[in-house]
Amino acid sequence: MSTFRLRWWPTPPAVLAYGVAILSVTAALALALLLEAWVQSAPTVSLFLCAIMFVAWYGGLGPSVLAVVLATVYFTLFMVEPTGAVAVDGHDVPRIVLFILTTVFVILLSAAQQRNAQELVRVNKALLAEVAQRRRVEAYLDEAQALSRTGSFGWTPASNDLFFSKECQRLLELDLDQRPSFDDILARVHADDRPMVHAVRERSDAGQPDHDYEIRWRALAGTTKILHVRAHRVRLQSGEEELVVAVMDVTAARRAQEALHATEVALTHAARVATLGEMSASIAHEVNQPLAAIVTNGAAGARWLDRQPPDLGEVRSAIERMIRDAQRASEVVQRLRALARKAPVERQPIDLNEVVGDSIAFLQREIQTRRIVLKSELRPGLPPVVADRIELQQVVINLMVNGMQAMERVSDRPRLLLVRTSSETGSEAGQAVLAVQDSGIGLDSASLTRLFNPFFTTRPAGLGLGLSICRSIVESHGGRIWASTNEGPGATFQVALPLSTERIA
Amino acid sequence: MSRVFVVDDEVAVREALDSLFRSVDLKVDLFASAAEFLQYMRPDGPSCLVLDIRLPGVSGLDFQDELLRAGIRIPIIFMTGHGDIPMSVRAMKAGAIDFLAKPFRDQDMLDAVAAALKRDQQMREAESANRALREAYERLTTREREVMALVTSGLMNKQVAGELGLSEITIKIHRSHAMQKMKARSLADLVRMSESLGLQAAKSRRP
Ligand SMILES: Nc1ncnc2c1ncn2[C@@H]1O[C@H](COP(=O)(O)OP(=O)(O)OP(=O)(O)O)[C@@H](O)[C@H]1O
Ligand SMILES: [Mg+2]
Repeated sequence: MSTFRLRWWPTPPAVLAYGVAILSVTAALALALLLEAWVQSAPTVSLFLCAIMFVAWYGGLGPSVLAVVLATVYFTLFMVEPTGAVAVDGHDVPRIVLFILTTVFVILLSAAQQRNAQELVRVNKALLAEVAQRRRVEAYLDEAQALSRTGSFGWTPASNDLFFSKECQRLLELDLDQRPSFDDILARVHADDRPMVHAVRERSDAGQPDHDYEIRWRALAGTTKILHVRAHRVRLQSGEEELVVAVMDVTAARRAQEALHATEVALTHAARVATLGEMSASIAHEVNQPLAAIVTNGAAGARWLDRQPPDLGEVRSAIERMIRDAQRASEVVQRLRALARKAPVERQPIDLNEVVGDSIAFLQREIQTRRIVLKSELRPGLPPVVADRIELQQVVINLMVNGMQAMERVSDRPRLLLVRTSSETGSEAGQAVLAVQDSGIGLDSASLTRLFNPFFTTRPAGLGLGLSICRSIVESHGGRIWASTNEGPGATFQVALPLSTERIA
Repeated sequence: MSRVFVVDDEVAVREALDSLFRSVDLKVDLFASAAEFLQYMRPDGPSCLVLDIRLPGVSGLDFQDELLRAGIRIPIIFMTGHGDIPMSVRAMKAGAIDFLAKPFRDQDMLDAVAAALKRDQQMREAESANRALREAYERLTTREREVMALVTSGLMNKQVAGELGLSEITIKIHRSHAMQKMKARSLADLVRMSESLGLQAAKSRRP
């Protein structure tokens, strides 16, 4: 840190200062006497004044007063007749008084100047301290921005002035020597996100003060960063409008989120495939039946053709049956494919009853082989729910399969599986409710609280994922899932989903 | 006229088999369940049953047992799906004619049906022959039955006479009457008949 210096030496110790005062005035006298001897004329007063000024400047007030006294003594002794005595002629008094006044004036001047100089030093010090403080604050700010991966910049739309914080430069990888303009910045935004930025700017121009959005940013390495941008419009005292913008690098968070989501999707898919695997025998059977029929119809048709005369009516009906059965086989395969597919979630208004119907069709074989008595009570005209059809079907199938599994060892009563849909009034108003009720082993209070936990299972072959996946699906649809025990034997699982305000397209 | 009964819960399979069997001039009756088949009064004549091994409610195998217990002897051809091999073994032991995995070749099915019908016919013939024999045997007198049993057990006429305390002549008369009534052409014929009637056991009871 540099200090503003008034003098190139520090304040001298008092003894030295007074010594210098005596020395300077005596030197001035000596010089005056020498000059008097050599050239018969000496600027005595000027020399004394010089000496006093020097002392005042060098030593301050005390030494300069001493210098004045000494100079006055010397003056009266050597410069005023009679020399060598302190006696003064009357007509010389004004000269001496004038001399004294002059010297006092010089001292006062010098003292004032000294004070000013000292004031200057003080102010300067304060200023330096403030600058240092600001630097520290700035450093903290930079550090904080770096730590939080938040950069900021200010933008004055009127003058198109941009100011970037250090972290912002680092984040955006800007070369400030190029003095980037708004358009330069925009050029680095992912092309798909540019219209959004334009839209934000339009809204801002229209007077909306706050903005919050995410953009993809092209990093220099060719990768893409995800930036969370928050902007606030402020009116400066000058009347100018400025946009204060905070930019956060949320790439890592988003990537983690995406990875998590991908894992969830994969898990949901895996569970679905596992369900399919568990039912592979009944599914194979369901595809095999129409295939067997098709093969037999084909053979029969050929035989009717070979007869003399050929019976074309029989041939035609055999072909018609083949078409019908092939269609059925393909429907089964399609249902399977839909459940096994790994497609992105797609939400639209759908009919819950239809999903239940599909699920029942899918489980038909399973229901038969397990000797289940299935009853469905589907509320007609149920308003649609907004959901992903496959995910919802997975929920229904999981609940039905669980119910059937809970009745596996039931032999003293009918294995009753009741699937019901309703649209609630009252506390559940605006919701569609699906209930799957069984007459199985039921739920004890200990498992009731853990049912929906991942990996909670009481089945030897179970993964314990079915219900936890159901819950995450239902909750991601803004719905609720819960279990209760029946009055009689068995359990009931219910799902409430918000009704769509739209009609089914 | 030969008849095929088809029991399968799958209407598509029933209809296809119906067409196939009719195309070779077989009479067909279709049933969606075992219960339906049991309620049906089967007309007489050679017939066989084409049965899906997996039926809702009662399985094909249980149904086979049920038929056996009810004394309904009808050749069964099982249709199986995937992975039904253990079931097939059990059914085979219980006397099933054949197994056809769905989808099957039409010729295999028709061959199996033909074999089953033939066996049913043989069984029916054997049964009716047996019935005729039994009726003839019932027309024999007690004495004639005694003589027949001893003669067919391998004793000479003289030994039989000694056994029954009668003259050899009398034995010869009884024996020729028995052979006439039984329509046996030779002694060997009579021996086979007594075997069919299970008379061998009667002899062994004698010390
Ligand atoms: N309808 C029901 N009646 C009684 N218990 C049930 C019922 N549904 C679920 N449970 C209990 O909740 C547990 C967890 O069910 P969940 O569907 O999550 O897993 P799982 O069926 O065991 O295995 P999987 O992951 O294959 O579905 C079951 O093991 C069972 O103990
Ligand atoms: Mg489950």
